[in-house]
Amino acid sequence: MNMDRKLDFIIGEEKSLADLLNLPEALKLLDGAVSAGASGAEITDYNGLVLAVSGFDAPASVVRTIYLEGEPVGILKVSATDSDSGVDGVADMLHSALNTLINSSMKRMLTSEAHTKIVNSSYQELLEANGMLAESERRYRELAATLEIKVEKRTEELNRAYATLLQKEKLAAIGGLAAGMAHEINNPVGFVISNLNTLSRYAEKLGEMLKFYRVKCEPVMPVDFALEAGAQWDRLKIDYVLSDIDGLMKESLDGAERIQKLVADMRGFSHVDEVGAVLTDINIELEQTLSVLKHETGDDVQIECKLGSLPRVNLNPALLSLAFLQIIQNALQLETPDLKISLKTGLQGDDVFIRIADNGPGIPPEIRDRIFEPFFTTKDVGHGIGMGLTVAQQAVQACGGTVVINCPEEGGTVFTITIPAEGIQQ
Amino acid sequence: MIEFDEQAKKLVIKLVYYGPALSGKTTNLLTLHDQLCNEGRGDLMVLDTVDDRTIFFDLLPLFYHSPSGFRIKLKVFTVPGQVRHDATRKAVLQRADGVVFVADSQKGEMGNNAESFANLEKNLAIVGLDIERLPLVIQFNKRDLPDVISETEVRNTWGKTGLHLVMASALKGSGIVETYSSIVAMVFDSLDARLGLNERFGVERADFLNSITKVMA
Ligand SMILES: Nc1nc2c(ncn2[C@@H]2O[C@H](COP(=O)(O)OP(=O)(O)OP(=O)(O)O)[C@@H](O)[C@H]2O)c(=O)[nH]1
Ligand SMILES: [Mg+2]
Repeated sequence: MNMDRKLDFIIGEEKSLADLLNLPEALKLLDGAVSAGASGAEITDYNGLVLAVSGFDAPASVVRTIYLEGEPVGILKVSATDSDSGVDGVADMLHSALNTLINSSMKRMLTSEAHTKIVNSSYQELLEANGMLAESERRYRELAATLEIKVEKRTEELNRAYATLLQKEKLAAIGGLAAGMAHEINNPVGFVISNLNTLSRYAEKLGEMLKFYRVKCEPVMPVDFALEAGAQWDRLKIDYVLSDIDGLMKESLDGAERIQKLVADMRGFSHVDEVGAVLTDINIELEQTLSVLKHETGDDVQIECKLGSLPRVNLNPALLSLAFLQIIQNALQLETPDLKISLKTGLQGDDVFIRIADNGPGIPPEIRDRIFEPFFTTKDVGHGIGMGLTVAQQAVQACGGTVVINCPEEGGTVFTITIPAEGIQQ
Repeated sequence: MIEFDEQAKKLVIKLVYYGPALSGKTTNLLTLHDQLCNEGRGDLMVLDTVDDRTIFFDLLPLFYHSPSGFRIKLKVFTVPGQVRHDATRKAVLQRADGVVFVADSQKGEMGNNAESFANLEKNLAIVGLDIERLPLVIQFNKRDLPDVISETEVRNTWGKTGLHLVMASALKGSGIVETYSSIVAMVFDSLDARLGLNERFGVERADFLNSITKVMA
């Protein structure tokens, strides 16, 4: 019985927040909050010691107290650059997730410590207790595991909500921009074009008049005046000027007309004039998207289009072209030399398919499933936030379609968007 | 005592609800949790219960801040009553500052009560606690049931031990706060005598008891 006196573990010993905070998990949650729009999130204990931090401090911040067994033990601070950025909601969600995390870790600690420390009983007793404790520990593990999943799911939901928001904002931004640009550019470009046309007619007239003078007047001019006029004519390179005016005018007109078309495409692409589903020519949407992206597809990018004939499909064209934009932009960011992007559309059974393929390095199988996740990015920090493909997928889904990726053996990545030809059912 | 930190002015006390299986220890804590004022108490943690049977323990934390700046935390535990969980019982009993023995009032349960009480005596000795000096309250629970031994009978058998007796029904909520209040008062007196809570740290008995046993309005 002497052994029994050696119980060195006290059930109910005080635990500090630092003891109970599972750091990697907590950091994951903090990072989640930062991804969800907070500038920074930070957990400090009651002595002001920083336990975990993510992001950076910003002026507008909200503070939540962390309780352990009902007593305040720490502070959660979530900050944002401005106060009405929804940081309150993020803080609440983060706070409740942290509480769950800490509580479960507390329970886990209480049970598993009891498990390892109760060693002073008879063998039989120990066996039984162990069996019970192991069973119980297992259940706590499970609980903890489901909790982690729950926490992850919540963070994901948060991200989703944010992604949708972002997508809407982006749409609105593009729409607004396009409308503004259309207005601001269309008018000047309009009179530039019309003036250029007039100007080129005027120039023609002036040239004609000059030639007339030359032919009719030169023979009857005093000799030294005629010589002077000839020298002046040569010095001012009037022959060259007259021959170049035409080319210049043509080029300028071409340029201005291209601007005009781009603005029209931009307007069409953003569909500022439409809302909701309309019968849409998917090929035109694809062409407009390419046109809008022209500045990004330099000469060194080869674009191949094989557009099959398609029925018009009932969907929201703004969303679909947004998806095109995101997927093509994603491909354009590849650093593949001789980048080639192939676009193909066609009908497959009752579905319209749009295939966007590149000759890049492909996507490793282990991350292929994650590519549509919000904030998932393979690019270095600072290059894109990993929302593009998420937005693309959501946009396609909103059109009643699906998007899948595969990476054929010969290399590259193929995005296939499939949309039922009858479109969204009303 | 779980912890006594003079510098940090903090005391952590342990109360243990002991007794035979299914006598109502967990229910005591549940009721207490419901009846006590919720400022000054944490959440009840019920660890692993299978069909009403505790495997580890339950824990209800409560706390008190004296105007003098001293903090007292009270952790109320239940043990698992089933015979086979004796190891866990010992572990929970370790360093207890006070024990409530919850007996089952039903006529057929007297044998179990006695056996469990003997087990308490044995385990107190094992963990180095002196039953003569440890604050101890006996609660006869389930008074609401029809087939229970009479109060006179209880007092006849237990009266001579000099222990404080409370008749209760954890299910109906009677006698629960009374049990708790008496053990808390006894624990305070015993700790005050040893540590000088009032004299050295300015913790007033009445204020402490009022605050930590305050029931919901
Ligand atoms: N009628 C009646 N039933 C009660 C009372 N107190 C508890 N019970 C019931 O008795 C059963 C066991 O109660 P618990 O509180 O779980 O018992 P326990 O002492 O914690 O049991 P172990 O954890 O196995 O040691 C439950 O079904 C309770 O509802 C009471 O005062 N009256
Ligand atoms: Mg119980």
